[in-house]
Amino acid sequence: MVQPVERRPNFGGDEQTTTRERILTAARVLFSEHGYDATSVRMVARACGLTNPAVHYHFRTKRDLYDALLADPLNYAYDGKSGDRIAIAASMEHQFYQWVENIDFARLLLRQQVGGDPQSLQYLRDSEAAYIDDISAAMEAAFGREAPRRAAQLAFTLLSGAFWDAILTYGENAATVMRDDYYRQRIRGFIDAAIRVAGRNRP
Amino acid sequence: MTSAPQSRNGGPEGRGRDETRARILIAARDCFSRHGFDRTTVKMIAAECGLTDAAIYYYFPSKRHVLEALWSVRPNRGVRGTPATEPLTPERLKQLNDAVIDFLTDNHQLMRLMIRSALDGDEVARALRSDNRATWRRALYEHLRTIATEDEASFTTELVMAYITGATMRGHMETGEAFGEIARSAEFREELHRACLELLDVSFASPAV
Repeated sequence: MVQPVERRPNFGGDEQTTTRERILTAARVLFSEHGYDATSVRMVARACGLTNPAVHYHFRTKRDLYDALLADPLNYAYDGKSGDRIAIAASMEHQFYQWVENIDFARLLLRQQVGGDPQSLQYLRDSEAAYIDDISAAMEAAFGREAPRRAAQLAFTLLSGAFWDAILTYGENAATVMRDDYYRQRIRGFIDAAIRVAGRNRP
Repeated sequence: MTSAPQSRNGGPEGRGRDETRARILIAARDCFSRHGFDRTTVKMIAAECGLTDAAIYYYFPSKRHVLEALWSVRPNRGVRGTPATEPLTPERLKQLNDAVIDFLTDNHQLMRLMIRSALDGDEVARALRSDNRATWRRALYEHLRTIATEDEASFTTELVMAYITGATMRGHMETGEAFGEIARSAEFREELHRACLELLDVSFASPAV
């Protein structure tokens, strides 16, 4: 059964949900569960208690709906103002686990990306750029100007590799494995390794 | 790849038969890897290797059978398992990383197909991928263990594997068919190795004089 509201990822704002957002949330869940091809606008309409024309009013085609999802990246702006190492590490861990909580969507994206879908690749590039901007700004505040962008770049590649590998290796159990303490310790270790690069002098 | 010595639609026994079967498998690997299993048709495979649909069906009862036969094709040169006799140097780690990149580039169509199939829930693809990674993991761990404790070596092994996985999967996504060539370049390998060294927190042995 589809429960779009319960599974709604945290996009940051907690203001009143608009119809458009409700449609997007339902679409995200349905695309994730059934894949792009097997999801219809009718299914999206039914899941959020709207009529077909109501959905079409906001999104002309199924493709528009999908494109809108990709234009609306999971929001993971760095929120730690203190700018110390522990706050940065905690924020990076939190961001990683936001993706774990949205693993069905991540799996859909990965499938599209490996298939070379330009829209989903652009989404990945935009997410990466936003991640590097946020994390390197925080690192720079904490460690000065040594190598924050490099460190953030390394973190992104390392963590996306770990995340993709978990999806491929553990399939349906990937989120459970990644929530395990043992795995969480490893992710913390990866994050520490990347942060260390930011604090280190390199020729 | 499309120019075949001759088209055999009949049922030749022996060498010719094996060669045609191998040609079909190569064409199928490339089509599945490019378009995914669902979007590949037997007609596309036939066109890729210059045969008729009927000829493909002579060798394989269905598209699914072609995919399954692909999983028993041995990849080009495995990840070499060299014994870890000397304490690990950065140069030796680079050789290990290069061996993995060689394996991934020599078999890049098959690797992409494995990823796509694993994402579609194909258990065989997932198991084969895990086997490859187990070989890689063992080799890395043995070498890292020469300069680190068990826990450190195990963590560092996972770190190197995760980084290389992130970089190479991204390469697959961004460059598609060209990935084989790109990952063969010295720049790609240098950058990968430099990133690993930056992330690692181990004391390497000094290079032998």
